Amino acid sequence: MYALLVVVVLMLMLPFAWVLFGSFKSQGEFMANPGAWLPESFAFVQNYVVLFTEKGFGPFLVNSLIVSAAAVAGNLVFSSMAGYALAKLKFRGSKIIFIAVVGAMTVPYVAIFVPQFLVIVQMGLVDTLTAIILPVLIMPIAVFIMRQFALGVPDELLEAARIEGAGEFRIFFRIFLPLVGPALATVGILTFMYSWNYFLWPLIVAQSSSVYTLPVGLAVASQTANTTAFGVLLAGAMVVLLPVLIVFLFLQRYFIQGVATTGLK
Amino acid sequence: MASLDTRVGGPVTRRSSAPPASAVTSSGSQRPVSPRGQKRLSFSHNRIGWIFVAPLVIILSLFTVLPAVIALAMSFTDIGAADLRDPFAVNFTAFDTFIQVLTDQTFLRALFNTTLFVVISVPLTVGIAFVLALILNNGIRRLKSFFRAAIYLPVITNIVAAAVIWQYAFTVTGPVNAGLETLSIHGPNWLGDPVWAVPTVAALGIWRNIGTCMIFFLAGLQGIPEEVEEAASMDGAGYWGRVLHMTIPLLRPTTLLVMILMTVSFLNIFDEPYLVTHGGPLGSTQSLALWVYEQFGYGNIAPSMAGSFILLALVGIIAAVQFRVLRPKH
Amino acid sequence: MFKKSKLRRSALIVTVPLLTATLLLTGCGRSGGTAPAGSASVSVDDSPATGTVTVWAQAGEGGPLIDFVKGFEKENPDVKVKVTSLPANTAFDAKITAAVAAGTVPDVINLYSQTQSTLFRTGGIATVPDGLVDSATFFPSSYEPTVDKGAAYAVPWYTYSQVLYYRADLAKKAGVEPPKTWQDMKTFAKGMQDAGAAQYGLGLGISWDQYSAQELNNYILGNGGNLLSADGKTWTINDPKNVEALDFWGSLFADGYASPDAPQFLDVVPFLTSGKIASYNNGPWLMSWLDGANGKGWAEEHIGAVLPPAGPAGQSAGVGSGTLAVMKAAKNPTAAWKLVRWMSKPETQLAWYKASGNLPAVQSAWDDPSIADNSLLDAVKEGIKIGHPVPAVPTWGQVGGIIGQQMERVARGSATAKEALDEAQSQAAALGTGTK
Repeated sequence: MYALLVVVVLMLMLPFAWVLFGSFKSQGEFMANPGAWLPESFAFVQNYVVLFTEKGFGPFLVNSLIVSAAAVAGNLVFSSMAGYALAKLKFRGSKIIFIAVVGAMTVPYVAIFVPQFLVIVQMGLVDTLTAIILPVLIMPIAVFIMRQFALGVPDELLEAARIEGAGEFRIFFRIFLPLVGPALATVGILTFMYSWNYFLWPLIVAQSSSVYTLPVGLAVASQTANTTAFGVLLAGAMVVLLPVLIVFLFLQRYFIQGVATTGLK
Repeated sequence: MASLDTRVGGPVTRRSSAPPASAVTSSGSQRPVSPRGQKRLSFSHNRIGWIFVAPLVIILSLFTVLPAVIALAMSFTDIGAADLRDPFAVNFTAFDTFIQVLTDQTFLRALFNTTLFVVISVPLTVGIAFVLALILNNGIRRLKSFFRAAIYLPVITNIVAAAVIWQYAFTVTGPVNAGLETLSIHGPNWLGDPVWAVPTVAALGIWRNIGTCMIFFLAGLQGIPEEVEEAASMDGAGYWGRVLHMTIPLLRPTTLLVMILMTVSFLNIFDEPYLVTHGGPLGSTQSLALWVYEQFGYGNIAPSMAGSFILLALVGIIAAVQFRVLRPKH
Repeated sequence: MFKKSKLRRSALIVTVPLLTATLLLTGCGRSGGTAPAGSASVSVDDSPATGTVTVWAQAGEGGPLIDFVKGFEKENPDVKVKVTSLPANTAFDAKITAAVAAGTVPDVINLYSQTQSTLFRTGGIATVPDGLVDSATFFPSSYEPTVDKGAAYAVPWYTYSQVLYYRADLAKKAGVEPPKTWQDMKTFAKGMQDAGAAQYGLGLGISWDQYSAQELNNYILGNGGNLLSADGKTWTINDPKNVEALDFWGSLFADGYASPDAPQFLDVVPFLTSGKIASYNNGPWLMSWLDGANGKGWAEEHIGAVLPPAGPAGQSAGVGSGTLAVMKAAKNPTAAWKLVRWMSKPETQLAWYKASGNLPAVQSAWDDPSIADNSLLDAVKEGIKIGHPVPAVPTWGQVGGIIGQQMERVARGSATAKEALDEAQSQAAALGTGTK
């Protein structure tokens, strides 16, 4: 069993290892010997340095952190509210809204990015982080997960509270949320990952590099006039994935436990 | 339970109109005892329900529904890039654009290619992830976290970087073929041969998605109660027999979720063919999403919108079919 | 009551979007005339520029440009130029499209000759004011692609031509002369291969879509053919002369002088270095790639450059250029045009060459010793003079891609030249040239 696992994992890690090793190569090395496995020197950290000194990764990192933090917070609060309501509160239109949520998960982005931009312009939010955050503040997949999870929470608990006279908000915050910690962790990592790797929309919204997020910054940093700056690209890829990896490692046990009981009915 | 006694939110009338406990069913629906009570109950549930979903509805309407409606409207016209500054100065063409798209050779080819991608990738991704989850769940004791993280790394690796690696690794004289040579296998032209390009690009998609599926399967497996496992092993069934007859059926809900997620994902496949082969060679890896994007880039806005809605419909139909087929049996 | 509300609800869901869509659509209808081409009828005098100028540059140029514009700011103390570097090509085009639709455009953008015609058609780019620059100062091959329907929409900024780079040292050893004509190509390749100097005498890259088509254009023009009709309104892709040209190109593969798989992707530099291929058609940047890989000065010692070989009816090289354009809805068009005009002064052109490695589009700048004395640039200059840009029509991106695809079939031997071009012609004809 171990053997099979190790083999498969090694194969999966191979391309990733290339990214890691490649981030220590100079452009000349790539040109001369693209297939070389190991870099000439692991001390060649120029690619990483350049990202922060010349390519502005510092501010981009801050932007990405703000956007992702807001996206995670927004989803943890609003998506769970919506998911809870769709699962546990009977109200007119809830079914339609749920269908719209599921439908929204499948709309191809290229179809809507121009009209989406027009909406932002009408709201006067061009070139702001707010505009980048808004569409991901509440993500359909997060609502979907929370709703599925909420279905698994016994109604009796909620009913008992209602009979005692508790308002819905109180029930939501005091009873429901504590029960769904794992689901919240799930939503946390998914929304963090998605908003962190967001490329096209932040590009469309930006009028200057002040609101660039890391993926946009990486694209600009690694493109040269006639080719790609490969080392910079790979180093950038490493930088970009590190925070997500950290969040994943931190949350993974909740995540797995969470998805398990997500009422996959 | 003192905190629950204070009434926060909700109209005062609620308490008095709440029916006696016996009227409460396990599904939470409140069966009212009087018409007057019913109206007030559904009113208050309605209002609070709408308050809870208000942020969702606002964001969804503004940023998804409204743009989608505009995009749909555009697909009923002959709008082109030249018209973007004056979008109303276009002709209403009803379904002409849709027909034009559906009879376009390149669109149909993209449809065929996308089907290939899905058929190749989804079973492999789901299958490999399932086996990995099994092993990680039962087969090994130590280093679980390490393996889980390792398998998840491809999911979070920047796609542009991964695509560059793929482009280099699969050139005719690249490392993959070099490795195969040591096994005396003469590798094909992975990226330049229309036949081999599809699996090569699909491989990138599979690589990137195994981690996600594995996580879901791990979760599902952990949801299987221990007693069931023990009972099965005491039955004398071999390991794989157990897997086949017990584990897989019990994982039906998880499998449904994973299958749907992956099918939707691969139906919309874009980054992989775009970055690795640009839809080539000879259009063999051009997916529907790539077709839509390219049309937009050429200024053919209306066909692009129409194509994306056809894709949307396709995804919807297939997801619905899967829901039917993989619905948990009770 | 339950049924009624459900019906009412479903009715709402269907009718509201339909109503919205219909409302949007009822406003539709094309007016008979074309939208006014309009220039930013701006008078650009010689006073210093003032205000802020926003520039969106594609990443390749954006890097050096951010600091380069300080020169302009020094000459015009009351102006501030803000350069933003953006991801290039398709992402850039998508952003411009969205910006034009929303009216949130910058003042100045930079474009590439091969893809700018499509963007001209968005109507969001202003025509160049009369008298801003003297078109005669530019190489004709840089100026031509900026003209659409008789008006210039952009000002040439830098240019390059693609010439045939070959291993001069290996050729010397093998006693082989670099090719001057089509027939020479086969002699050259055969000589190199027979002497064991190279595995393939010719490196012919395929699968670069419209850029492969650009290379084919050399052969086509060299044979007296043309992809476009004389008035530029219809495609003549499967013209017999074009077929002959593609046939010759295909024979290079069939005869074993080139391989469809050498080079792929990043192989050019290692293959040229190792001698796997003896020659490659590319732009001047190839020199810096080779130096970057093999050490400074390597290219000068080992590489020679000649014009792409002449065909029976003439000789051509693929020419590309970068240009600068001002948006119609620019907030500061006057200063924007002044910046563009400054960029086209010979001194600025030279300074830009030194800062970015992009060669000047202004002819007189090439007289400067830094360029004139560089022997490796001689062929490039000739190429720019005799060369041709790709068809400057809005659908070139798409059609070029189709031609590139068909070329692959010929290179791999799965189609004859006639079949390939007939197929390309029928697809292209359906698309049109986009010129009305």
